[in-house]
Amino acid sequence: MDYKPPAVIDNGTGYTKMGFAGNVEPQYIIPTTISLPSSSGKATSSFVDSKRGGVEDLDFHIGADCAKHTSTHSINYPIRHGLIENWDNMERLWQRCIFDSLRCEPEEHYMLLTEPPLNTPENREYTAEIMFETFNVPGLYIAVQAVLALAASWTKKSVEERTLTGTVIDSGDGVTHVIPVADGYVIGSCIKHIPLAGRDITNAIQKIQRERKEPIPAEDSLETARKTKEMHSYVCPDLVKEFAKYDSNPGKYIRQYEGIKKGTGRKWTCDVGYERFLGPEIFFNPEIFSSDFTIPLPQVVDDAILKCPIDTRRGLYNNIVLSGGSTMFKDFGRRLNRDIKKRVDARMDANIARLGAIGKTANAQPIDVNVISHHMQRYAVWFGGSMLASTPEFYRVCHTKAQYDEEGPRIARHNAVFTAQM
Amino acid sequence: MPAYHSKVDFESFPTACGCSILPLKTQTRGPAPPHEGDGADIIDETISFFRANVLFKNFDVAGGADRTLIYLTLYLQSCMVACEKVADKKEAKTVLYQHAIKPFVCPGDPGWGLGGMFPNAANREESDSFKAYFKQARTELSERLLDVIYGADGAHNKWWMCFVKRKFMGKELRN
Repeated sequence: MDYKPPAVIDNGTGYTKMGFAGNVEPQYIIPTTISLPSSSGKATSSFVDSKRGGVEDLDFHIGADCAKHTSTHSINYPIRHGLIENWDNMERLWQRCIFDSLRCEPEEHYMLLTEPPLNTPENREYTAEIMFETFNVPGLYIAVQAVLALAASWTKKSVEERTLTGTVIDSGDGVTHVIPVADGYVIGSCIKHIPLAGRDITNAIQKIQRERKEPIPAEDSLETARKTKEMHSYVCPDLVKEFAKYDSNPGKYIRQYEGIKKGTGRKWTCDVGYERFLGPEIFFNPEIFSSDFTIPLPQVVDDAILKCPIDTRRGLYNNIVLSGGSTMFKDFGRRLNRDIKKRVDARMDANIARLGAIGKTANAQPIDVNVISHHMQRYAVWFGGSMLASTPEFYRVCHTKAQYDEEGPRIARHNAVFTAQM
Repeated sequence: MPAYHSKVDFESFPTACGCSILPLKTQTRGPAPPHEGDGADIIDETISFFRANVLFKNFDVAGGADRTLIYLTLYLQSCMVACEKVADKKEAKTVLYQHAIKPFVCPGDPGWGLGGMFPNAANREESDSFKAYFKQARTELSERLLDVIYGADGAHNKWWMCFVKRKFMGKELRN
């Protein structure tokens, strides 16, 4: 049987990324939101519904359209903290995704969906039920997001170096995760969360601009900070040296930001200075902007790897993969690499010195620390899915409709690991 | 990468209230030993580390030079606060000078707001030497700071004044 290319849908807490396998970027990126009529559930609704002529099922909006209908509809976020919470709404969301955005017949396309690490098998069963029974997909595979992010980094490596062992650092808008993966299996007990991510960087930049009394209209302040983050920010190797660079050559480092005031349309400009490197510094010196969380990212990564089984650690240090928009800052990987390497080497030296003190010699092999930056970081998870789903291997690991009809939703509880070599 | 520490070699210098009496490049009279060589003295360090260090909330004191650095950083902060409303450079010069020579307390005195980071003065002599040294250092720092926080045109340098609201380790020097 010859099927059309598999559809890849990555449902994140904030955004849903979807497209067809084999593509480099998702075709549609929409907020994972759905808005339903506010009156539903109230006593009067049956009367209102009857006047709509029986199409009340279709009276909902998804994605960016939600914001346009806030007067009559209320917004719902079906995914919270990466997990699907509201299955009815999720089904509606998928329906629109498939028929309105992707515009495909689900009967003709295999489907690759993603799940967060530590998703429950029951959730996979519900997902399979919706996919096979509502949409009649011919085949389904549910992949772990972190594993797909690892696969996305393969573009930077030669064929024999492509492994599914590595540490994934996934930083989006709300939260940053450090997820160790060994041979395609997430080491669930060693996952670390950091409550700092893109939104906190934006807030930090906004605070700096406000402290400097830049002439930014109050209503554009957040937007300006976000754009500054996206357009001008980078990671510096050393704060004091970076300040000195700005002092000696302001023309080169201080940039201009031009904005248009909402409403009046008046143009305004402001300087963009230290916030360029102080914003992303939040990952490396969180105490600068946050009082509740003060452990730097390199230390969190190091701690996470140290908790893992000893035989996996070298592989985890050797392959630290970045994913998500907030890891896109210039030199982010380089600084992270340097700081982790420094910690690892210091510990190894301390151990050798300790053994030397009790009259023993140790012959330790230095640990390679490799942080991998690549071009697909922003949509790494989706891209990894798109890549894997375009291999013949994908059809081998998929659960098919025939299997589902034979055994029921329980087949989706387990999804075989990809060992595809491309 | 934690906050920046002083790189001055402080081992050979005496201390007062835990602060090393470090050499200064200065014309002001006082007990500080003369600075030898072209390297940065503790005041240069204070100024160059200020914008980074003022962001931090924690600082592990590694020795006497670090305490001197902490005191001077907090003093620099208080200078910026004093100058916040002074838009004119000439006027600021007097304000900074007045700020430097006004009476100040030493660790252990009533009104010392920095708690136990500095050991209290054991006797009158120690507190006198603390005050004499820091009076000299404050005066010198104020002089050098003038050109840093005011531009050549005599107006505030906004790339410095933006740090005026920041509090190093959440503390400030009141007296």
